[in-house]
Amino acid sequence: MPFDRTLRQFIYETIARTGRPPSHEAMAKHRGFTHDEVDAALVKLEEQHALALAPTTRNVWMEHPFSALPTPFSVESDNTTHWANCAWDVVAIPPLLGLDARAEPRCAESGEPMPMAFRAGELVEGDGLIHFVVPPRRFWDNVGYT
Amino acid sequence: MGATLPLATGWQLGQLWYRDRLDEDWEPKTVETIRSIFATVGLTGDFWTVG
Repeated sequence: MPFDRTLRQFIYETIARTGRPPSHEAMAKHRGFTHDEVDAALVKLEEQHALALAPTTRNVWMEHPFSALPTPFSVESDNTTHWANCAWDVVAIPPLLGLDARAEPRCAESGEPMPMAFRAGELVEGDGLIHFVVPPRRFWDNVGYT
Repeated sequence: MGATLPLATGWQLGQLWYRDRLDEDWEPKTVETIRSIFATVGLTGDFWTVG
């Protein structure tokens, strides 16, 4: 398997398990690659829209539906907090990982909490609306805004 | 501006959108796949038009 594919899998496995992406050091050690090779693979993955890097860096920012950085959109399961990029990604994480989980994002309009619960990934509690600002054909025009 | 979905519809869309995301052989979605997902969830109109 090409290194960028292996790296992508390693990043997802680490986020799924810990809620955080692996360090740059861990990515290099994973298969004995150099930091330059890791950087090149990360850039290639971003070009494929397999992840997003923080602007002007080689740091993983988004590995959809996960955020590498803390956001107001957290998903809480047994011992792990996974951060989502938006309200939609909140409801996408539990089914992706088959989690029993709770989340309580706040309504962007009223600021009211929107409690929701998941059992083995299924949405079992929660109400409200999810607002998409950007149409899907333009998701990657400015992924941070999306 | 934009579009709103009931939470349960968003959950269904998320499940279909990301279901292959952890697969080793993941590839970016084709326009046809995206259209099929939107059709399954019942999303129509200009906002959900791709390609």
